[in-house]
Formats: sequence, C-alpha cells, structure tokens
Amino acid sequence: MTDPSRRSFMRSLGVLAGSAAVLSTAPWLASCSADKQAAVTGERARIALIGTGSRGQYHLHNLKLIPHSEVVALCDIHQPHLDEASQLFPEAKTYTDYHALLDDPDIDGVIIATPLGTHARITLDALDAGKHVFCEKAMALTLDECKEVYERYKQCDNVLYYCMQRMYDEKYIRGVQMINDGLIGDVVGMRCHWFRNADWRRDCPDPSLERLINWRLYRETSGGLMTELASHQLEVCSWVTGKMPSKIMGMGDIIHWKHDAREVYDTVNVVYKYSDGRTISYESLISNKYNGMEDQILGSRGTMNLATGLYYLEEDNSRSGIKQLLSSVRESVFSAIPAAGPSWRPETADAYIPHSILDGVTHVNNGQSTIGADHDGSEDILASFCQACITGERAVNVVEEAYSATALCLLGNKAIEEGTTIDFPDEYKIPYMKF
Amino acid sequence: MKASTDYYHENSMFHASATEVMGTRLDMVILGIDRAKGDLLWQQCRERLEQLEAVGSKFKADSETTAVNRAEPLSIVTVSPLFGQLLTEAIGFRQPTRGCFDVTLGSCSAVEFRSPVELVVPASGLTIDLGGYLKGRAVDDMMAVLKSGGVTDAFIDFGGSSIMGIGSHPAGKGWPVSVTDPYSRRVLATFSLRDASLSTSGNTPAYNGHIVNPATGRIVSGNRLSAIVAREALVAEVLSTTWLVADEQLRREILPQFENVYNEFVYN
Ligand SMILES: NC(=O)c1ccc[n+]([C@@H]2O[C@H](COP(=O)([O-])OP(=O)(O)OC[C@H]3O[C@@H](n4cnc5c(N)ncnc54)[C@H](O)[C@@H]3O)[C@@H](O)[C@H]2O)c1
Repeated sequence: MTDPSRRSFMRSLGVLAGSAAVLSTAPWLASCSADKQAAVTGERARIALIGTGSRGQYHLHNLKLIPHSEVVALCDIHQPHLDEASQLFPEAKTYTDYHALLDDPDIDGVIIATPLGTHARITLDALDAGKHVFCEKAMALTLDECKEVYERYKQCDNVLYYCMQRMYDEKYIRGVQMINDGLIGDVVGMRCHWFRNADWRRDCPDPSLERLINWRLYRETSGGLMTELASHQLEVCSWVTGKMPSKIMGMGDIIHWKHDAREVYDTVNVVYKYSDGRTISYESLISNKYNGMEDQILGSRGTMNLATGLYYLEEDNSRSGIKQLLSSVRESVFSAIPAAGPSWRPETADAYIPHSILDGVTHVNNGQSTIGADHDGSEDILASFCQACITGERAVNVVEEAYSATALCLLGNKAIEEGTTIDFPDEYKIPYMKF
Repeated sequence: MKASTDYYHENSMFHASATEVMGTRLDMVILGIDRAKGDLLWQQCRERLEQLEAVGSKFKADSETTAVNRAEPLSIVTVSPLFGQLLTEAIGFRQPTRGCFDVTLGSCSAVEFRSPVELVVPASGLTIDLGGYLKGRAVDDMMAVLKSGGVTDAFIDFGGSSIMGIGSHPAGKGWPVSVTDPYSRRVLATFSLRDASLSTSGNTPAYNGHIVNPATGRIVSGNRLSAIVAREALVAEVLSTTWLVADEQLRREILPQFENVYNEFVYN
C-alpha cells in the first residue's frame, strides 16, 4: 500500500451514485454509493488472477491501489508471464492449472484475463466452484457460450462482472446523463469507430507459442476487431438507446496485414439497424489511425462524443453574447446583454464549439494502447468488483449489458461472413433486451 | 488554454478570448487602451490563470489538488505557498456559509497546516474540489491586474456564469446583463454591473448534477438557479453556490456575514 493514488478510486462514483437521476442512467452504480464503499473499510477481498498477460498485469497494478483487496493467487499456462506477475505479488500462490486454483477455498473472487476463447469455460468453472467472477470483455467467443454463461448466472447467486469499463467512466456516465436530459435532442443515430495503425502482433519467442501469444489473430480464440474493440462501443450504444438493433449487415476483410497467417479481419464496417429505423454505423481499421477512436451519439440538436469527452450543439449560442456585446460597443447601443447561462441569442454558427462533458477534464483515451488507458473506468469497475466480493452484492445490469454488446459483436462477424443482412436471432434474445 | 485576441481601433477596444481554461471559456473586453497595452495585461492575466490552474485543478493529474486528494491519511504533504493560501481562503468560507460552501465536500472537519507549506492530511483523508471557488478568485485577480494597469472600463465573462463589469459601457452607465432561465429562456432579471460582479449557479439542461450539498453528500437536482451581484467576484461565486443549497431561513442568516452584496435571488 505504498502508492497513495488508490484513495481516489470510486470516490467520484460515490458522489454520482448519490443522484437518483444518475442511478436511473447507470443503475449499476447503486453498489458504489459512498455508504456502501465505507461499509467495507478494513475488509479485504481475497482475489485470484487467471491469465497474467498484459491486461492481467494491468489489473495487478490497479489492485495494488485498491485497499479492500488482497491478491492471493495467480495462474497462467505461460511461465514467463506467471513469473512477471509473481514479482508484483511475491506472496501470492502460483498455479499453472486454473482448476487447482479454483479448488482453493480461501479465494473469494477471480479475475479472468485470458484469451477470449477461454472466457466461457473458465467463467463457468469458477462460478461452479462458488467464486465471484470478474471476466474481461468480450463475454465469450460464441453466442451459445454467452447464453450458457448468462443462464448459469441467472441460476446462481455469485457476483459476475464483465470489464466494460465505459460503464464506470465518469465522462461516459455524465455524458449519457446529459443525453437522457435532452441536451442533444432526439438520438437519431450513432457512429462509432476505432482506428489504429499497427499489426496487432506481439513478439513471439518461439513459433510453437504463436497461437498462445497472438491469440487475437486467430478465430479459434478471437473475434478480431469486433470482440476486442467494437464490444466496448456497441455496449455504449445499447446503454444510450436502451434498445437493441434488430438487423445487422456488414463487410470486412484482411486488406493490409495479409502477409502473416492471421485469420481475423483487419478492417470491418458494420451497420446495425433498430426497428425504429435508426442505425449504428461501426467502422474499424488497423492500417490508418487518422480518425482515432470515437463514440459519437448523434442527436437532432447536438452531438455527444463520449470518447473524447466533448459535445457540440447544432445551434450553439454560447459565444454570441460576447459578440452582441462587442457590436453594442461598436454601434454604441446600450442594451442588456444576456450574460448568464446558456441563453445567448443565436447567430449563424461558423463552426462547432467543443464543450467539455466534465469541467476541466482533458485526458482522453486515444485508443492506441492494446492494454488499457488510465482513468478509463477500469480501475473503478475492478474496485467495485472487489467490494462485491466482500458484500456479495451484484452490479445491476452489468452482465446483461455485456451479453447484449457481445451478441452484437458476434452477429456483426456473422453478417460479414454470410454477406447478407441478418435478423437478431430469437434464440439469443434475453428478457433484458428491447427491440 | 487556447487563446486569441482582437483589437478594434475605432473603439480602442481590446478583446481576448480563451477556451479550455478551467474547463470553460473566457472573454475579456477592455476599453480605452491601445493594442500593446491590451496584450501586456492579457499576458499577465494568462499567467495568473495558469498558476491557479496548476494548483487548483482537480482533474489535472499533476495539479497540487490532485496530489493532496491522493495523499495518505495522517501524512504530511508539502504544498506551494499559493496552494496553502488558496485552500485557507476557500475553507474560510465554510463557517460564514454555515457549511453550505465547502471545498472539502464534507470530507473533513478541519484542515491543519503544520507550517504555511505543510499540510497535515486528516484521518479521514481529503477530497478537495476548488471548482466553485477558483473562477471567482481568478476574476478578482484579473480585475486587480486590469486596475493596476490603469484600466477604467472593462468586461470579463468567465464561462457565462462569472461576470465582472468594471466602469461602464461607452454608451451608458455600468454594464447591463440579464439572467435567463436556461429551461424556458425567459429573462428572469437584469442587472447593471458597475465595479460589480455577477455569478449565477444552477442546473442547466446541459449540465446537471454538478452541485453537491456538503452536509448530505447529495447532488442538488432540478431546475434551480441562483444569482448574486457583489463587489467581489469571489463572494458572488461562493454565495451563488451557497444559495442553491441553503433554504430561505439559512440564507437570511448567512447574508449579513458578507459585505458588499448588492443583489441576490434564487429561482426554483
Ligand atoms: N477491457 C479492456 O479494455 C481490455 C484491454 C485489453 C485486453 N482485454 C482483454 O483481456 C484479455 C487478455 O488480453 P491480453 O492482452 O492480456 O492477452 P495476453 O495474451 O497478454 O494475456 C493472456 C494470458 O492468458 C494466459 N492464458 C491463456 N490460456 C490460459 C489458461 N487456460 N489458463 C491460464 N492462463 C491462460 C496466456 O498465457 C497469457 O499470459 C482478453 O480477453 C482481452 O480482450 C480487455
């Protein structure tokens, strides 16, 4: 407990959770209230990590800063990663077989940060072993696996979290709140994209390890751009609209990084259509990064760019009060200037003016790291999970949101493969979804 | 901070405009000076703004406020003299506002300094949010810069909610400004600012849930708006926040604690 920055986790969420309006926008914050946070002071959740690769180690660094957690066990099938993790928590027991770890009764919760192809199996085994589970996104590699995990979750009492960190990111929460308050008018569409210029490969010391190290590139372990990147963004779309699209069409291919044996697309364009006609336009490409990463919610009166933390109004009056004042001086007219509040008389907008969702917040995730960004909600959702391992309180709708988003990702891939417009299949609908 | 300046020769009017400053925008209009003088005064104002931001922003990872908020309970943090000064002044408003204006958000009962640059973190830890204080301080400091530069007529608009009129508009007395209901867009009141400052506070359709009642930790919600006109921008700023939290009776009790408050109202 040397780094004092741990103290700031979840504090702002505690304040947000004090507002009834925020709770109706983000019901999962109910377990983050200041009272509930205070109630676990002095207690510690005994946490184990399965998958000590790059994301796993990122979580370990954050766990060092979470006072109500204690890392007691680590597991990985790749010894060098296990050794690195062990250096961070030398006291923690180490395992190379996660089944053995799950047999340990002195573990309250497990974090699963393994390749996507293993998420469902390990999650199911961990729930069966009576552990609380925090699994990385996406939920699972296939829709059948997602359904199986969802049903098991519904039958048991364990806590289950998926690391959809935007749900715990203050600028997203406030931004969605502003949308619900009507700031940008009616939501008429969504445009999300994620662009990078990198091959997504990791150094592989030995060809026999290729599929383990570069699991992202192969279909038996990964859904490619859709599950690794789009999952976060599609979750935001279902959060904002409270609805699910009913039709999906898409195109994708390997157009640039074609000289290795990769199987997943390096470019995808998917369109999701809601029953009311609105669409989500999703695009990702990893051979040009000009457009960066953005989650744009388009409204009849403005645009909320949740990823950059900025919004823009179609008719922006915020500048024209001062313009009025300048012209009143120049024309020698003495009349009251509407000074306070967003009430300036409109003038022709020359350009869109960016407004910050959060006063003064300028750090944004540019989406270029494959590990994670600071202050993107990941620390908070993990801290919330550790608290849940003590209290047993589930986070409202987190599993449902992860299921919905993952289904959209997997259906996006399916639409690309089939080359047709597909309907959201009835067998994968859950009661949470509204179409 | 991104800034630009304009000059209007025929009116001897200097206009500086900045965005991304304390999370909002700033406009400053100075009359009766030449361009070089305007640039010089604006430069001094900018420096002051940058100092205040470096100390007070709770969002900048490297600001002193961030460092203090992260410090271990009961540890001793070394702070800059400016930080000590600002925090002491800001906390000083807790008592006269009966706890309604509290930059510690109720996180501690007292802040103790071991020396002017050594802060003792209380056992409960600290959460400092200078947001409701800093803009008012900044406007007063900019006014001081302008006054010491010999300026007699100027207008400062910080984010649309902290406004200062120095002297008068060339066509009349004072600087007339109106406050409008952000929901209905109806004009609620018009004030003339002559060496006076207007601060408004409240929820807008765009920005809701930013005011916390320190006593309850709850967010003040709904369509509520307050406006204060006072000589000092800081007093106006502190009271406009307080007025959202305090009820009528408490407001009557708090008002006599402050001097040079010219006008006040709260609108539900
Ligand atoms: N939420 C986010 O923003 C975010 C960001 C990055 C990664 N992730 C997710 O984190 C997960 C891990 O990604 P990564 O980049 O850390 O990958 P990685 O390859 O760096 O790490 C995965 C680790 O899991 C280990 N592993 C594989 N199978 C295992 C098994 N059966 N038992 C134990 N260990 C096993 C591997 O040896 C490796 O060390 C993925 O699901 C990824 O989508 C999420």
